[in-house]
Amino acid sequence: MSPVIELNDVSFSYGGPPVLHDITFSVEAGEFVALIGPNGGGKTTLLKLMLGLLKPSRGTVRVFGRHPKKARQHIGYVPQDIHLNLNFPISALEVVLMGMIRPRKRWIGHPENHRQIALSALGRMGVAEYAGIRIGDLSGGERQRVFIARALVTRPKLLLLDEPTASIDTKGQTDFFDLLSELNREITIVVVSHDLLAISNHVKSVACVNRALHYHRQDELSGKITEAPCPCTVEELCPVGMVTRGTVLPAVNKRKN
Amino acid sequence: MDILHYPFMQHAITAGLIASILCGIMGSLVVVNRIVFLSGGIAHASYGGIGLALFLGMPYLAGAAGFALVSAILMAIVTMKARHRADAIIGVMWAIGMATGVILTDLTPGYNVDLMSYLFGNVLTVPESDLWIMGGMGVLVTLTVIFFYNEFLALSYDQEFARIRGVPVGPLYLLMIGMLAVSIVMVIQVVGLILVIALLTIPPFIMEKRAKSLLHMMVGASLLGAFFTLTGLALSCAFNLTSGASIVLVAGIFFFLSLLTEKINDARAKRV
Repeated sequence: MSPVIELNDVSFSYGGPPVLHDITFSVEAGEFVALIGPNGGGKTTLLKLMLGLLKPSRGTVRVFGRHPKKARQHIGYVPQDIHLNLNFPISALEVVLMGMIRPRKRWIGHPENHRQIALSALGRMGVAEYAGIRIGDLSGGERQRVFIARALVTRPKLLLLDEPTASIDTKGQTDFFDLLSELNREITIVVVSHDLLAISNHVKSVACVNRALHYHRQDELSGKITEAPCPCTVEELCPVGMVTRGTVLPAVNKRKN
Repeated sequence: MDILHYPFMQHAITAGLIASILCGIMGSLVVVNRIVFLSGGIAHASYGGIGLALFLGMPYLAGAAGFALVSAILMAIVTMKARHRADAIIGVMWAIGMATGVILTDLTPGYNVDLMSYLFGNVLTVPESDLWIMGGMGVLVTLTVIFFYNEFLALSYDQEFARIRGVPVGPLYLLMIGMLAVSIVMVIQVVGLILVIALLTIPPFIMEKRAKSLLHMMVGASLLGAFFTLTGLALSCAFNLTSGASIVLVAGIFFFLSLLTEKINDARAKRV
């Protein structure tokens, strides 16, 4: 079976110096990958390349073995919510229904079965009671659940999330990653996140992105090889060293006790 | 109330109501898409078209609509391709359009349009033929927005997500800006440039925080616009004031009242 995501020798620039350089990277089905790295390191750009919203200046991107634009119907996307207008008059239910837009099926309104599917997706995320509430009146965590529900109604096989926990408090972040772990039983997940604590507890592998990319596979992070030095080329900026060396994990254990 | 029996008054009221609906619908899209400045640019640049029409002896509407459409499409493309430079470029087109209009008017022998009538219009002198054109455009814009409602909503709220779900974001954005340009020109013909911007922004802005949905915002903004227009018209007749400016001031007063109640509500919510 071909990998879910396959990047081959990919470089990208917005016109200036390359934001991403020579990236070769693949994600297998069932993975739960965290993309970490400094701001401006190219994490969001990488996600957008996977979605086909940006074209690589060199190299190829394949999702489910196809051009990303053709694979979009299988990708659920949860964007960074800071870019969205909180004053927008739209209810949580309508946001989810946005996931069910069918081109060539127009006119205002939605079929009843779409509403049912959207409501059950909200229910699955535990936010069904907020269906009629304006999206801007929800808390950051509730809003992220609505956005995931919107991604889920498209029945994705791959879920891409861009800093989903940026506006959630620490307790909420842990709950949120628990939820993602549960979804990961059926869906391959790639998440951009700064939240090392949650990452070290939940994800299966970590990729450090800072112009270049270094992929730390599952076994590296299992905790058994915490003595191994981080082989990342951008070590001073790569926090995986901390994760693998156990500087973060003891903190997690302490919190649990 | 006798004044309501005069045809000019009936025409004024009809024109005001159609303008309110056009502005309520398109203005809601303008406010949620944060393109108020772009709308101002279209409205001002269209003055270049009025000057050109005068100079060439063409009908006003053709000149203004053509100029507005071309500048609107250019602005839309700049906004899509280079968002961070868009406002400067729109500002330049705004100024150049206006200046072109003034110079072409200067060069037209013997005939001079009063710039004031373009800025504030005169709703009391609307001929019946313009009403039919406005009404037709009103129906067309309303039907188009109802037809593409879900997609306009998606691209206004979250353009990237809309694109991923297969919404033709580029063409629909151009369609939206095109309808905006045509609506602006229609309404300018009768009520003037300042009133267009006021009706396009004030009612939707008041509704934005209160509406439950974009549709609710459009309907509410149309009703508010109609209320402002009728109140302004009544005041202008009662005190013999310029109609356009009266309508704008009524809208402006309610704009500040709305801001004030919002602040009071926020303060109260914080205390609880």
